[in-house]
Amino acid sequence: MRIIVCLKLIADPNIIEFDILSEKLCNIYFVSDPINYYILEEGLRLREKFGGELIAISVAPEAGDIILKNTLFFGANRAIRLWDDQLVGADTWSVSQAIKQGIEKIGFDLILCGSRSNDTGSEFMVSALAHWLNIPSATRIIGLNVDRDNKLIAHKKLLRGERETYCLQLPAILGLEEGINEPRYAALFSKTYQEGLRKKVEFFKPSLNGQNINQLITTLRLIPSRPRVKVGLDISALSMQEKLKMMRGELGHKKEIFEGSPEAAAKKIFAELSEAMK
Amino acid sequence: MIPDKEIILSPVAVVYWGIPGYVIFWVLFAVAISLFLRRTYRLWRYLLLGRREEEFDNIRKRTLTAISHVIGQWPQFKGLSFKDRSGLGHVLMVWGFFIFVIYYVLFIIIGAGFSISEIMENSNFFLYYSWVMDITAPFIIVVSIWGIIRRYVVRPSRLKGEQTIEALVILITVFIHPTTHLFKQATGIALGLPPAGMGSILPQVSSALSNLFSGSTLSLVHKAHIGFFWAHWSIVLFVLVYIPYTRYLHIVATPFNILFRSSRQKGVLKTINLEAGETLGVSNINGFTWRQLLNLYSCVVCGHCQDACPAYATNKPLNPKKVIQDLKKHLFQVGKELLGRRVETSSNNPGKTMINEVITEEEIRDCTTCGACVENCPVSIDHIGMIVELRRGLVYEGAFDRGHKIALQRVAKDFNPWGIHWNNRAKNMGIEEAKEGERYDCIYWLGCVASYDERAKEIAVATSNILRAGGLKFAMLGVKEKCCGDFPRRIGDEGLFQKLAVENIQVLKRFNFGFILTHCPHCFNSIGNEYPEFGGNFRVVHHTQLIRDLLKERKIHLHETRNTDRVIYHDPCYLGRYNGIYKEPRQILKEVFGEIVEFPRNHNKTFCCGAGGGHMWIEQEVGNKISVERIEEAIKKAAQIVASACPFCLLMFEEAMQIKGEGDTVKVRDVSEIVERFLHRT
Repeated sequence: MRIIVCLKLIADPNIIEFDILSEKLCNIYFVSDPINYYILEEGLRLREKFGGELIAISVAPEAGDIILKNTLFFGANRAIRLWDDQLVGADTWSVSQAIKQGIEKIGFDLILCGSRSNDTGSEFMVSALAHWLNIPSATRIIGLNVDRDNKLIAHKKLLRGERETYCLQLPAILGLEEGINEPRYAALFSKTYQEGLRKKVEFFKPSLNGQNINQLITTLRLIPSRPRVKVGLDISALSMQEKLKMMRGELGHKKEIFEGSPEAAAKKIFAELSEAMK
Repeated sequence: MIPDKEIILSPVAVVYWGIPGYVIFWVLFAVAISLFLRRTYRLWRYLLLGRREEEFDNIRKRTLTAISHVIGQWPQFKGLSFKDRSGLGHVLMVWGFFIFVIYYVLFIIIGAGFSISEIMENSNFFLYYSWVMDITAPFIIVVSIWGIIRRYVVRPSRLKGEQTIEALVILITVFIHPTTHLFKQATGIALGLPPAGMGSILPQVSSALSNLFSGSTLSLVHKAHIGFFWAHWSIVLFVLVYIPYTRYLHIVATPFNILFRSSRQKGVLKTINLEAGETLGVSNINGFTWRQLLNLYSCVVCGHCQDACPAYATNKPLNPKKVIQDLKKHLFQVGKELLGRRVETSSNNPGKTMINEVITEEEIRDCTTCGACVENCPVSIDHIGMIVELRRGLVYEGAFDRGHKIALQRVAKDFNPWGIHWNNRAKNMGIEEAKEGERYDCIYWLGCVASYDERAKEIAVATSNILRAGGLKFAMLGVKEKCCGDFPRRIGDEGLFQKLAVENIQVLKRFNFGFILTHCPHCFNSIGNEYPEFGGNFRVVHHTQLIRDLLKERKIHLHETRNTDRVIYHDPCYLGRYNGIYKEPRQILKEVFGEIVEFPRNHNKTFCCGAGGGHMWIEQEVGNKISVERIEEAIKKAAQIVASACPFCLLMFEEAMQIKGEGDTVKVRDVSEIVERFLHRT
């Protein structure tokens, strides 16, 4: 099976700022979209199950080589970067045309994308690609597995938390949710890393001549999110002690395990309870 | 009573069944030595299966250490305590052994073997030597009986499961040596053999024993003498053969092991030259260096490491003694096969993988790298070096514990194991960020714990207040600081460590400062001891050192009225055992509270808090919690405050108090917090 994973280079949303004077985004620091790791992991798992090859593609300027190289370190068979200078600031529709060209050139059985990226998050790419390639699509996938007849089963999360399960006819395109799996970690100089070192990121220039690549959307403003403090999260202001207390639902009370036969334990518990009732 | 000249032939001069005694003597010797050499040669070739490692310097220091360890028996004296007095027995045994070895060489092999006994034994030297031997032999006899009783009747915890036949044979041979010697000597005296004519200054013990034979006929005594001689000689040869096959091997291996042991400072792991294409980690026995294989030979199965290991003490699968023994067994099993292949390096000779075959992943991961096993090992085995190599092997194969994996991903992405964006590092700390071009007394290295954990932040705040009161000009690196790489390295992710080290060094070199201050012993160890290999030679000071100096120089003052809390000090492994900082925190606490209570296991015998070696980020699912075990010691000592000098220990103990459900009955505080509480601000 030939699996294509589509990855994205994003501007780090934690530090990006909007310069009001020049009306432009500034402090742009390109990082790999966190969802990339989940997509790649799912692709690697499917490859382990079905065999075949895994190809990572990304539409990105030269800086994108980093994330593609990283996929090679994780064990991808090939990594291809697509870029044309006309694509600077292009919207999803235009980019989808570039990706389509790349994918058509490679050939595929299954395409894995993220449901939405962590910067612009238009949730449109999967549908656009499905349109161009004329294949079935599904987004917000939170689980992928294989049934007895080796058919791909996808679980989709609906808006209010309901789950819907699809059986998919290949070739198909899927949009994955973050948290679908637990991404692996490839240490520097580990086995897969050293295999990846030998491979090179390929480059492909899509021919966009004659197509409409206008920048139809421009950013007007970027308002940073209000810092929220959630109980139990790593960022919360609670101390380790308080967190533990909260999680255990006990504030200095002692836990007790009654040992012995069930009857004896029941008697003890009864005695404790009646003591507490007094 | 002058015996007949014919009868009192020396035992080797007697003709047995037509074969002269000399022939039998030398044939037996030749057989034994050839068996010994054959096995030793095999062991030597197994040793060469290991990777080459040519680090050998400072020969004078190495020799002196070897002498003090082998002849001086320093590790035995160091490990001696009222509870465990076995070291004394070993010392007596070893010194007796040396005296006996000299005797064998001089008077048996040269004297009896070359039939010059009379010349050798009619000297004053022999008489004095006989005296020494006579005093030594009873000691060895007593010690060997004590050893047998201790091992097979008393059965102390560290010898649990070590009641083997091999150990019994060894102890019995130790017992037989001096016994047969004494009787041989006694029958000799009764016969008036060598030391005759020296009258009243005969060796006391042997001559007392010779009275046993006073009633017997001469020929009977002579027969007994011959019997004891051959018994003695054959037991010597038996031991010679037995040495390379059993744990007796430590007699030969340990001196070399100590001589060739790594000169790296304690707490510094071996650097892998990744750029040069060295393989990461070890997964088969010939991936170890020859030095590490020599470690395996040296193990005596004494169980000191097992006794000290926090993982073993809390019923986890890891037992350092078992690790070494399993590896040794594995080496002997596969060694022959590997020798057959005659392939030089390990990289193109995968061999049989040891992971999960010989040693399970759990065992490898359970190590907290506290260094107790290495510290307590009398034969200088580096357990941690080997375990970390195995961990690197796991990382190479991509096998991670879930907690470790997540923590490493976070460090790789956000340079901290908490997984909070690097942009939020050391936020709202109230400490000035370092500016390039400005001169600072010190750069305050916060470390990840104090940068992100709300509780540990208080340590940083307290320390910075003390620094201000002491009038120091200091700054922190803020978002430019990254994880020091200590725990990735201990987990086995050498690549990530080296990357972080190089990046941190580059950042630090941009600033102008006197020294680096840190409150985290892990950062202290990494920056101070491990960064120099990557070109970062900085002076690193632990905050307890600085606070002690400030108090001593009267630069900071404490309130005069202070509580008299019962404070107990916990030695962090990476501060105490690895870097020898025991005094400073105690001096501070004594200055504050007047006196401190000590844990039952303190100073270099300290017990880990359970967070080292990346264990902060994994759940201890099997066995008890190490931190709880430690805090219970403090509770038993009725301490009100547990003082520590490591943020990890602090968090672990606070968690342990919650797990025990004791709330805040025992407060856990950093030394800096205690000082800041009583700080007199002007």
